[in-house]
Amino acid sequence: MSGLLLRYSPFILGAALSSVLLHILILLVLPLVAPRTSGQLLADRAVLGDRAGQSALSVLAVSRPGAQAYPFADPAMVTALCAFDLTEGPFRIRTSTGEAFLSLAVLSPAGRVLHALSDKAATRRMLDVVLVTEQQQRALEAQDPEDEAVQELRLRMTAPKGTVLLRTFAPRPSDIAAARELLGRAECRTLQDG
Amino acid sequence: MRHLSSIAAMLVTLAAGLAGGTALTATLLDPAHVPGAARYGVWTLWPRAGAPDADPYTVALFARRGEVAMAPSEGLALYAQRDGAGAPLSAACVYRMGGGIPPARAWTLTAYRPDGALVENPARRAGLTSAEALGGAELGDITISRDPGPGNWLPLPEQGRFVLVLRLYDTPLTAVTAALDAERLPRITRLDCRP
Repeated sequence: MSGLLLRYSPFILGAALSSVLLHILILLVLPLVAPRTSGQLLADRAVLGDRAGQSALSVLAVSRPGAQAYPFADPAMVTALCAFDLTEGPFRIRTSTGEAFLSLAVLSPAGRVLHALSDKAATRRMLDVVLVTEQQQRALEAQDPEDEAVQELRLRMTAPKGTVLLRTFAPRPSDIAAARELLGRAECRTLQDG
Repeated sequence: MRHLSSIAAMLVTLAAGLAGGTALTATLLDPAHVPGAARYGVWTLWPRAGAPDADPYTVALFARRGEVAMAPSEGLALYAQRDGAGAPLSAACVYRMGGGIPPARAWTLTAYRPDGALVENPARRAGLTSAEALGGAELGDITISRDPGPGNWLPLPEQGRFVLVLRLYDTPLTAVTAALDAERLPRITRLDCRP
């Protein structure tokens, strides 16, 4: 028995080793190639922030059976999204907040949450976020006036592209219209460089 | 001849590795087994799923489901696939959810198919929210059933398996998930089932 085991041990070891290797490979590749990642589902509907300074935001229909923003979407949340590309310049997201819970999430192209903040981070009922690369951050800081505090929150991104997701709570069907209007007024735009 | 048999052995080894690796990955990405999940009673949660430091298993699971994870700054999502006795949740049954909802600025309770699709139901209402629920802080039991129940009611579809997701928006629990325990989370009790 032990002789047999010894004779086949290289193969058993090889099979185990290749199992583990394949497992790690699938795990790392899956988020990038999954057929319906939230990132892809959302990117299909996001409009790229326009360089002309116009807001490019789409407010999605509230999720209901047969028409969801993404799997496991909360039907009590109104969702708006826009795409960004920092190679064009820093990207600003501004929204006023209401009484109801509101959140802003920055997603990678694969749908991973890179940054998220809720309306608790708002100042004077306004969430003002600028996504920047390291270089853009330095350029903006060089322009900052020395005697006043910067109002916006600057988030440094390691990759240039992704999606911004704005969500606000609309607990009753009668709250949906106001929530859509609130998010519809939000701003998503590329700032001019320099 | 000897050469041929060692090539065959190598191929068998590779095939075994392929099968083993696939099986291992499928098992570990099943929500019931995935590392990185925390379990309290009937509830499963991924407290770091929406954080930049999420572990690769959680990232892969959410990518495969196509779900946007809730970030710790947004709140906490709790998933239940089974009742308190361990039986899978079925729309043929009536359930009672009791024990109160943990503190949060807002909460929602929603029924989905296991793949994350919202359920169609005669009441045309996909979930129950903190603003709709009667009783406020003194929230009583929630009836989860196809047919309308007394008090707070979450409608179910005609039939089939479902999962419950309880989302706590802006909850102090995100900071102290280590302090969570099953005793403080709602219990799901099956009452009776249609044949």
